[in-house]
Amino acid sequence: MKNKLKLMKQDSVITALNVALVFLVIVLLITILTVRTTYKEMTSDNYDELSFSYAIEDQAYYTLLDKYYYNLTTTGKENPEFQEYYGVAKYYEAASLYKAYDTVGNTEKALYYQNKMQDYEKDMGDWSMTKPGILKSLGLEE
Amino acid sequence: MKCESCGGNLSLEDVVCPHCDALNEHAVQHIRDMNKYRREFQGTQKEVQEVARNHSGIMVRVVAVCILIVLIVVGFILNKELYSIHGDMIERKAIKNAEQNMEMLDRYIEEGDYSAFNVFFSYTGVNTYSGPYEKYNRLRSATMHYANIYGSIMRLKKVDEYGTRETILKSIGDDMSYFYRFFQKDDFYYVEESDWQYPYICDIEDRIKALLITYMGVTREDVQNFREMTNAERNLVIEESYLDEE
Repeated sequence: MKNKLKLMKQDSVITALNVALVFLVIVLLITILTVRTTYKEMTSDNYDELSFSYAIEDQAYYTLLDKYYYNLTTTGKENPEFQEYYGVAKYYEAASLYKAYDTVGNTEKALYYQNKMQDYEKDMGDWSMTKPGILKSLGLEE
Repeated sequence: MKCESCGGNLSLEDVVCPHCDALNEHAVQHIRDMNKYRREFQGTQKEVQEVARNHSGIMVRVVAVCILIVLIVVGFILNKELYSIHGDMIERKAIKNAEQNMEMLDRYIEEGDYSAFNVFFSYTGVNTYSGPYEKYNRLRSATMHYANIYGSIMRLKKVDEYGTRETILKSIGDDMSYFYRFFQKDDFYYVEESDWQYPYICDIEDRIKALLITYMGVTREDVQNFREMTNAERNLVIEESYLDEE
């Protein structure tokens, strides 16, 4: 009788522990998923293609530069798949600096960035269609 | 024990009398009792075993619960500290590859790629007040303010989507104030003309001035006096020039 009572008590403890185990396993899974997501976000340091194309569509050309340099720093090399986006980023920077130096009459630097513009224009590939938009946004219409 | 029928000697195991074949009631009762006790013993044994088994089950579950709680706590802490751990790892890597990185940084400086120079330090978070990157202590800060100013000036073109004009102008003003600390003799950030970083900081200053003249409508006369102006005067000039041009 005493054992039976003990068994009944144990059964209820086991049931409670089972419920706790299921709950904790769920919490642990959520925690693992959260850590995994955070880790993925953290280590996928590079801006992806979509991020570049959105910036171009949005004509937020200046943001391309940060993305470009960020990718360059995190990976230590230029990703050939992003070459055209990088071309747009660098072209925009060169064009903005060309205009600035040209305006203040620093011909040496203006020429340097004008040459850079020509170099980066080749890298723009299909995105060279953005060139008129970039020049217009900088007040450098051809 | 004696047989009730013939009086012959009997043992407790003799169900019938070996002398007269009479039934030994005591032996029958004994067997019945023994069976009963055996059943009771087996029942008790089973219950005890079950209790013991349950006890082990509880212990295993308690241990599992404890392990899970520890894992969850570790997970929470890890999730919270992941960025810091990752940052430390990047910084350590940057220090380990200092020689190679410094070659790259020197190239950025020579080519006027100040944005790239700034991103390297923003990303790695390496200390420039001590350690291998100490020689860049002023340039790191100068390029950061330059990158902020460049970004803000360009952002003014998309003012509706990326912040109000006032906040962007304030941001430019703040960065300009920080930047001109390099030229204030009594300031901690003052850079001597003999410092190797000085020409590059001047180059960055020239670039900032060119950007302000071109895109913010600041006059050449005004930018020439920037070093002598107070922060408030400088910021006022920039703000008024921009608003006038608009």
